[in-house]
Amino acid sequence: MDSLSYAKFPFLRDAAEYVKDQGVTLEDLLTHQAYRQARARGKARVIDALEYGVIQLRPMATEGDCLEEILSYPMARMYVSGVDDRFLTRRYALSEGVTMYERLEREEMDIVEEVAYQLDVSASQESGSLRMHFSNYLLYTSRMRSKDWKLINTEVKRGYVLLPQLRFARVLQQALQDKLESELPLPLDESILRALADDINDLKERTAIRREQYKAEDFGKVSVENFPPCMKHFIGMAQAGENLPHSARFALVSFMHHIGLTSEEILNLFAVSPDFNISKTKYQIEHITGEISGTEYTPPECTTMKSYGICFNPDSLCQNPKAKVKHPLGYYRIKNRSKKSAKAVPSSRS
Amino acid sequence: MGLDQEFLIDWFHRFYKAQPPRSPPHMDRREFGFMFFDRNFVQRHMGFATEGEMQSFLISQVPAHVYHSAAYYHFPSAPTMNEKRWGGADLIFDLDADHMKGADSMSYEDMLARIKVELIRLIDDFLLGDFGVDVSDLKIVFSGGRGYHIHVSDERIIHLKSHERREIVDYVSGTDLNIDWVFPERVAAYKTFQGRTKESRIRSIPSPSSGGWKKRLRTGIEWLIEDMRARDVTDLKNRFPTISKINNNIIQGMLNDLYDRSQGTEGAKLMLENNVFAYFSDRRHLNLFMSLIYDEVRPRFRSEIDEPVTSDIKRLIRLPQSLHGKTGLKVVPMSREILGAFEPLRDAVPNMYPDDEIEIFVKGRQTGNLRGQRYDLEGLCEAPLYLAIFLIARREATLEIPSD
Repeated sequence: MDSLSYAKFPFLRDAAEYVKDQGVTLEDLLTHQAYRQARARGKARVIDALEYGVIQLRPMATEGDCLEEILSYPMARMYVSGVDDRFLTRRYALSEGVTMYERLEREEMDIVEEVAYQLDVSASQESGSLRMHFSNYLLYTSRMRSKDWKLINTEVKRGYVLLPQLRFARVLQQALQDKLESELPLPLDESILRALADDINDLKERTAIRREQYKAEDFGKVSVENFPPCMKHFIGMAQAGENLPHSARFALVSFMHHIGLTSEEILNLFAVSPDFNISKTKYQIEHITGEISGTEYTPPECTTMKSYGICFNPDSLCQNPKAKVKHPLGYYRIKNRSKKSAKAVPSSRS
Repeated sequence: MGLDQEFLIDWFHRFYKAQPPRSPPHMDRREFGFMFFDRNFVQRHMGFATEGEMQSFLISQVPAHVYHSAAYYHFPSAPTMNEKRWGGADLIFDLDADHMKGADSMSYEDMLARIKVELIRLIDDFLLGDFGVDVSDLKIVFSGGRGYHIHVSDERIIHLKSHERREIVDYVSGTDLNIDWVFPERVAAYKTFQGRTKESRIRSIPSPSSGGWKKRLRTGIEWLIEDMRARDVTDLKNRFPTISKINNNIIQGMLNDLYDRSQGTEGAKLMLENNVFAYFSDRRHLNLFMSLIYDEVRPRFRSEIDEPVTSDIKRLIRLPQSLHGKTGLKVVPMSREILGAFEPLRDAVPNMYPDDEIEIFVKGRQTGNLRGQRYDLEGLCEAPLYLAIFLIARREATLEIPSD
């Protein structure tokens, strides 16, 4: 691979080696005038992620351009770590993943294989496709919601699956996303934070704005009317002062958290529970929302809720095979969407 | 403690002294759990450093049920799951009559035979076939109760978490199979008539060299074609209840399209030769055939497993070579070659149970086969010890002879 490939795929281990060979030190990168452009590109990487969800192509015609592009990647990682916000980290990881996916589409198979190797995804070329063990395939695809990615809808032969380039690139996207989410935020020492303080503050503000917009787009105003029947049932129980089983409490808190309610708002909901204990409940909520545990839990899927015996009053949307509701959050999204589109119909005719 | 409990404890004790079970692989990383005849809880979070330690526990405590974790832990005896630190788990399949349709109306023997069919399909078609598991990583175990367990210890698979295992569950149980993926539809021709264009689409059939569920459903189609060949409409409706409400003319039409040879080669044969569903004279005949594939073929080619067991990465599973407290039968591990000839009610009766006769009181009338001997017992009677243990453990008989 050459410097152009490293510029296109700056997360590769070999790209880091290349930077080392060029003799660029961390201090130079952070402060030296010569790397002002690399720092700017790094910040632009983060802004692109926030605004577009994909990193824009920048000039890579000369060795100098390429080096700046490669350096923009470690810079971006430092910015994201400096902001230290889960929303930004996830969005950044997703954008890097999507960008790589789009770029891999136009690459030779050898490059694709090399990128896979450097991301620790074991795969080998076979008759124009990439072959991987089904257990590796599952590591990256089991959380994809689309039916197309289910193992059952994939040809598994003697332990292996064969994927055409584009499909394989999508698997790599997930691998890169997972890798970045697990690596970031990096621990930054004071001197780095000081050097980048202005940009980090700017990015913090941009993140806050974007997050608000994103929430508004994605979920609409929180309306209990659109909650799935299980969640309505739990809220009814909580407000009637009944005790919720632990699994239901967990499902409800993680659901409310995911649709954007604050811990305070969730806490108020439980204030009428018979065994309400403010500090204990607060602790439980903060555990589930990730403020204490560091793990932000997602509500269980419908199948899991069913096996816990807490799937209450499933309605026609839950059971509609075409709607494919597999998750309480999925139900909520569909309900919100259908409300919006229902409104959109008359206005489009007028 | 009642007479029955004392009796079972006595025989379990003798068994564990005579034939103590071997330790499971990587025993020092497994959690153990027990249930006892005279206590009402599961004792969990136990760990053993050596096989001898485990065996002495069995001999001295005489548990009714012995389990070990499918998972490997860094600290198996730590009191909470988090502190144990999970480090992988065997992939477990549980095939149990409790989860099989129609099992309620079967005898114990028939039920076990039916389960074995599902088991063999799971092992041969899915695990050794599609998933390419090596036989050396596969342990087949009769549970001592109503079914079988499979432990898969493939290095690449043991690290999978619950979500990934759920995908394996769906694969094996045929859930969410996308028919449009198996039989993709393509535009075969355009017809333009009076300025209007009409497309005709055809679905293709996977080739014999395809893999996964594509291959499975191709085999399924071959099976379906042979199964229907000699049947008339009435017969077919009895055979496949899911089509009982379909109009007879449509069914007859489909059969004609498939088997009629008046035009030369029959449609069914052409279909499989050319890998395409192009030989139905009416869209409704094709739709009927497709629904037969989904509703009648698919269920016959999947395996009915107890789903939550496979996706649970912290579950306890019965220790092979231990005894099952509700049958007195042995939990028998075996290789794939042995499985064919294995008969649980003959081969899982511990050979150290004697056949001296003792007096028992049978509740109602109990019939069946055990150790190759037919039995038909009622009320107060004499029975060989091995059978007495079986019936008392199953609570179908007791030593507490009623006084009247």
